[in-house]
Amino acid sequence: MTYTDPIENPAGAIQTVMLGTGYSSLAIGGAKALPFHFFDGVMPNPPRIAMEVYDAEPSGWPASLTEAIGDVISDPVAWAKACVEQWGADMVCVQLASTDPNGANRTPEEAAQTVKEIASAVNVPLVVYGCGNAEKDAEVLKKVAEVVSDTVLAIGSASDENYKPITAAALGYGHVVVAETPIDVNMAKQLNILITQMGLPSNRVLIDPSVGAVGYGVEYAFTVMQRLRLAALNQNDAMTQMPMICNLGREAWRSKEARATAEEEPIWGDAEKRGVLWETSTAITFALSGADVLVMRHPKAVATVRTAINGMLDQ
Amino acid sequence: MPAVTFLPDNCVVEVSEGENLLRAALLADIVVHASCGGDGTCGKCLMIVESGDVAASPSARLTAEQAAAGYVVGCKTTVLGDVTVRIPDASRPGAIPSGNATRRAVNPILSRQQRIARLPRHTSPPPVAKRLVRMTPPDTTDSTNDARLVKLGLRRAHGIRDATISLAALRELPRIAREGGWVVTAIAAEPCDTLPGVSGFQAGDTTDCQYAVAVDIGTTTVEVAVIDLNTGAEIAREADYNGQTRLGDDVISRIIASTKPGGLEELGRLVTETIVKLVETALSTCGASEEDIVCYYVAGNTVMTHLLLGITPEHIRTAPYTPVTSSFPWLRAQEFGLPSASTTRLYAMPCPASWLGGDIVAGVVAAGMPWTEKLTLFIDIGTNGEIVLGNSEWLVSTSCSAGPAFEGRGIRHGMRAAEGAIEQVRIDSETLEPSYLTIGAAKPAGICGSGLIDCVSELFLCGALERTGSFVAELDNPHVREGDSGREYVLVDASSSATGCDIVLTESDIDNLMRAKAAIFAGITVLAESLDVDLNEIEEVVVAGGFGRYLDLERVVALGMVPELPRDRFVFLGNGSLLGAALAATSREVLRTARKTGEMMTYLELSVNAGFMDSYMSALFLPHTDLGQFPQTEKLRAERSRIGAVS
Ligand code: FES
Repeated sequence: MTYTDPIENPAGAIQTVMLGTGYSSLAIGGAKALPFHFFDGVMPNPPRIAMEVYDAEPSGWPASLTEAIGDVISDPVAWAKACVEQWGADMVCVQLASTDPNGANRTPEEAAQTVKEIASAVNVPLVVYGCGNAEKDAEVLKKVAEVVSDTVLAIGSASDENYKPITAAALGYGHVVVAETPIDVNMAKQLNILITQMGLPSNRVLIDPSVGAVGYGVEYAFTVMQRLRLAALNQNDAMTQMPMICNLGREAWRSKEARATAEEEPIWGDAEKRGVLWETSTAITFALSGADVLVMRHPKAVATVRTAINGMLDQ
Repeated sequence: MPAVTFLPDNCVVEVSEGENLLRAALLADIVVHASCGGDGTCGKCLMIVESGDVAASPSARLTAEQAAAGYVVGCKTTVLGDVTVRIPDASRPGAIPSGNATRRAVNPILSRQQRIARLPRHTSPPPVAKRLVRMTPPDTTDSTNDARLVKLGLRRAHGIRDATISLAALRELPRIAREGGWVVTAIAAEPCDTLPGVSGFQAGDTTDCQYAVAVDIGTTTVEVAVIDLNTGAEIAREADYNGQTRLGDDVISRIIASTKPGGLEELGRLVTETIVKLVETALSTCGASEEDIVCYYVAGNTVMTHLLLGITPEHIRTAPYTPVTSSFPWLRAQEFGLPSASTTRLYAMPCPASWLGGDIVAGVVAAGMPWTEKLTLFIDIGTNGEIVLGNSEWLVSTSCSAGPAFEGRGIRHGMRAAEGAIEQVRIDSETLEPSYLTIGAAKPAGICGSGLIDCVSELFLCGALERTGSFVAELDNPHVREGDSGREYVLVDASSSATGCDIVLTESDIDNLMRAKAAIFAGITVLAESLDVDLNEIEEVVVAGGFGRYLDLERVVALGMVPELPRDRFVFLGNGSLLGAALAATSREVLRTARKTGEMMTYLELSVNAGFMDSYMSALFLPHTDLGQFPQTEKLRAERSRIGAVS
């Protein structure tokens, strides 16, 4: 008797979400097997890397990060171009942090204008995140959705507090919604139910499971993502079949290990290498647990993760 | 049962004779203006009796023309036979739902006959009762002594062998026997008892008056019933909040309170006071004398039973979480200062495990589970939700903390199921106007558990609530307003309430109910999963709890508290713990079964169950994250919210 490899035959598949437009459009998700399990089934689209661009110069970032990004950090359009042209990002993730009512409190119109400029400057799809204030995000994203309606954006994050206006905007202007829940399988499903019951097709939703970084709950996030993926594939549970986006750059660079300078922690070694490694290992962890979009910051981390993903694709 | 046909809906509903027309309309899911809760004072629930027999009390709310035209005040008109009633447009807040004629089956609380039908056929005498003994007077040819004459009599007439007689009773016997002309009434129990079989005598035949008191000690509510042992019928019932609640809302805080100096005594005293007050009231309403109470049968959870008996429950709280005992000796009621004679006994139902008490053993017996082959799910809804799955062959139970919401605590305008409590609510899909009935058809004073379930379920079905339990943000309706802690639904206007202020349901009330129902549903799913039982295999679901007379099981399902199964599989038992205690009082066989049941039940601990939290989170949604499990509820919601106030 000859031995044949056992094959898992999943009952379900991940949705394919299309972002962007024309020749710059990009497919997200679509896997019919666990990540990189090519022996079980296809993974038509590798995890995409979206590089973050802030709409105003971020403060409090460690030098190892700001220096790598360089002068463009104060100009969102130039920063976005660098992401795509220099560092090879698949997508750009625009963070509209300056709309925060407790901060610069920029208006929805200003924010929409920034997004519009970035969209016309780069030929990759955009993910647009608000500032995290549920009420303000609803207003801002509605305006963004309206102003930038010639391409498919992923807008978010929508929570159980503001999913209605955000979903309505996505429905009205043809965009995709990023649905964010605090790292829980059931809550993710519940928000997906609420959003899809408003009439948004399930191939226009991305799950943001709110991940942590290495050393900060990465294993918990890994488990929840894995469970979502198993429910999607093995139980054919439609409300878990949306692709996942991991906003991990923010998390990795929040950690003490990524931020401390060599002077502060002399025995921890070179600060930049350390930060890059922190972001890289976090990103690869999530690529393995089923992330379809990795939102990242440091160009070197992006390059390393790209190499790692390509390596796995070639196996 | 008489059938009431409502026009123009053409909806038929069966109700018991003597039920009022407003109740019948609510049971038929017809929303009628009714703002006084059935008190007869608002005059809004007008209906026209087209044919059939009713008893209508005259009302100043009707004009002479209306009365002549056949108008009646619905809540004050009772059904005597099959009737046809027209509900005029002016009496309903919304449009008449178009649709075909329907016949709605209602399952109110099981009647006594229905309950008895679930128990084994053969009857057996009460465990403790007055037993008449005719003694053959001794004479010079037969010098049998007094005690022996009694024993002979007990054996011949009652089949009781080897009865022992207490010292106190022996001291009284010679006098009583002679006073009674050698006819005495012995207060006798079966042997195999820690107390002597005969605890006392009364001269002559006093067997006409003999009562038992059943007591359900809940963490939040205490309920007592007086049982006439000659007929087996309940002749009085009273309930009140457990006096211990002032020392903490849940069992854990009571345990903590019991470890403080003097705490154990204090808790014992508080609950005893509550029982004494209730029994005294009950006795005065039914005219029974405390001298004629032969026995108390107490059913309570393990902690409550320990506290009543003054046994420390403190080790239930710390590893390895054990109670002091699971069975209790027969005791004398006077030791606890309860209304009683010196001969009155007290029996506490066995408590098999720390979180599996005599209340559940009693409930399972009252549900008839030890005698049925049907796979039965028993759910007791109280401060703890207790769930038992099984049949005569096996029984597995678990318990989860539901909090006191179902008993009206922790709810802004919550109250116990007592007079004036809103127990039934229907809400018009279009206008969100409520229609409600209170217990005792009195002015509304608050909302009890069943009213709360109805109200939240109705709001959800109307589409006024999000699946997360918050009010739909864009809802623009006069009944929903901004309160001091979030949004609230105004159920009763201050002008109609007994309290003189609005009765509202707040978002945080809904939240409490959501958490309670999620805990219960999660308990059910985890229990079924761990036994490899598919929820569809469950042949009967018995829901117990101290609600009013009506618990709308369809609405309990719509809330996602219990699995969606065909309606005819559901049975509503009422207070199962109290019933079980009452049944044990009337039948030796039932008492014996209760003891055996206690021994055969096994317990599944949820706090160490990895799947519980997950099941809980998925049940924290209306009706449930897995909508596919609730197809009927979804259909109903889609239909109702289509015509609804929000779309
Ligand atoms: S008069 Fe019948 S409900 Fe008020």
